[in-house]
Amino acid sequence: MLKTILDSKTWKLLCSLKLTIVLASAVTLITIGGSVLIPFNPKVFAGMDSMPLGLWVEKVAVQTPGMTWWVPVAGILVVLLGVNTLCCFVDWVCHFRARWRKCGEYLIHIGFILLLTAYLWGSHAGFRSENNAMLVGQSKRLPQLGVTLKLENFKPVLAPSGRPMEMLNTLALYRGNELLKRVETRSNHPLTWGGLVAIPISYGQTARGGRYVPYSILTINYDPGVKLAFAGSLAMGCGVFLTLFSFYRKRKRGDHPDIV
Amino acid sequence: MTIPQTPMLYGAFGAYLLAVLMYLSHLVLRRPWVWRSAFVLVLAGFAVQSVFLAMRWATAGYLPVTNLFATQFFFSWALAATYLYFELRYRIHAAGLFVMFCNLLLLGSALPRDPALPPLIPALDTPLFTLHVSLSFIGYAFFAMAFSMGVLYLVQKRLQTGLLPDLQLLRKLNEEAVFLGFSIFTLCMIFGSIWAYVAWGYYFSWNIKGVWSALVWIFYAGMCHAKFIRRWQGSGYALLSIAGFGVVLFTYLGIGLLMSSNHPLE
Repeated sequence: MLKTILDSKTWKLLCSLKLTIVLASAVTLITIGGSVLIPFNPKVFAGMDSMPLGLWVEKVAVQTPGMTWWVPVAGILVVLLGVNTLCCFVDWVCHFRARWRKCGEYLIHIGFILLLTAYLWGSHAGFRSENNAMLVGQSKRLPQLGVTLKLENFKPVLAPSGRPMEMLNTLALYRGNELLKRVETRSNHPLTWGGLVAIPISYGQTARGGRYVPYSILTINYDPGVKLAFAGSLAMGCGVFLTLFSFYRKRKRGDHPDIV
Repeated sequence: MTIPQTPMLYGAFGAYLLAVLMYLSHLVLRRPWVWRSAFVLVLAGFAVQSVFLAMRWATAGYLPVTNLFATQFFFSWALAATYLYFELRYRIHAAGLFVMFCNLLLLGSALPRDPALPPLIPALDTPLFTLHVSLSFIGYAFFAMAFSMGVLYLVQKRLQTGLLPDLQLLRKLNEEAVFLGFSIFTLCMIFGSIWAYVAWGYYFSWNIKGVWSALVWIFYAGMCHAKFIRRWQGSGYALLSIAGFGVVLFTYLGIGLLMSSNHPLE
């Protein structure tokens, strides 16, 4: 049964190198054409980073199909490229000949598949929330996750010139009364928990009781696929090192690749 | 630490300029001492650039790649390093002329710019930034080398001259440059994604720079597969290398200078 599938023309097409090149070329050409619209139409495309892709397609892209059609088309082509990569990986596993031969290359393949799956998962099931202004002591409930984020302390750090340098936030995450995590966040050091990430982006001041009180502005995003994406990156990174190692080893031995 | 910026910058530029002139002479004279002198000049220019880069890094406390001058300088340093790798490994001599010429243009256009070291903003104060930017320019340098080999392949195919390496070697060098560039650029994308996640809360940005960087990766991933198809080897691969470098140049300079992005150069 497996042998019949692996020998079928459909399977060979799905695994073919030529399909990879055709899909990669098509994605490149379509995205080159479409992406030129991005900087000139901020009203349409600026929201792509402030909401998951799935939501952006539902809310924004459907309103301006003439300008955004290339995004779902490129997305479909990338998914097909992922399917092609997966089939190629499965085919390699089924025809495993030498133990280490091409391990690095196929780790890169599996890394790409994991990253793509993670991105699709996050685009469908994640959420993004920007410009969450919070005073010290204030909490924000995240009903999707059943947790509450609390700003316990906030201290902006200014340069002698008065220029803002850093934003030190003590953030705590609770489920009911149970403390899940407490972190002092600053630039590049967010609070992360599961797929949740809370990052201080900016700050402001508001008048309270006759004096100005600083408040923190947070970005709170949730992406359930982030651990999978990290696993994909790790696989890809290891794959690159293994491939580099085997490249020089093969060159030294005069081992030449199979040409189709 | 006081850095003698002007003498070092012009010293490196002068060494590369002389090296290019010597390589041009080598095309006519075909004397071993000519390419040896040119190679020594490239080594000297690269040594000066390396010391200059190290001094700036030590003074600033971070790898200075945060503005147009600094990125042009680093790109030029990476190009020289790439050339030296291929020269030492394959003795390509004047075949590296084109890359050195690109290097000269890059360093020459950086000379009139302000080399002052700006203070580092907290968002860039992370090793992820250093790894992301340095690996991206090293990847770009290999793509520039692939472009150069692609052009030379097409010239050699037409002229069949003894002045250039044979077609088989040019094809091999092109493939190696694409492979190394792709590998290094993959690592650059990984570190960039992790940095984007801790800085912005998402690992892929639909900003035009992010989209084009992904395009560069997909394009060269396709090229790494194309070398296994007989019909795409040779001229087809050379043309793809040339087109790919066009995408790289637009990603670096076109977007950085002409469009608003989250990777501004000025």
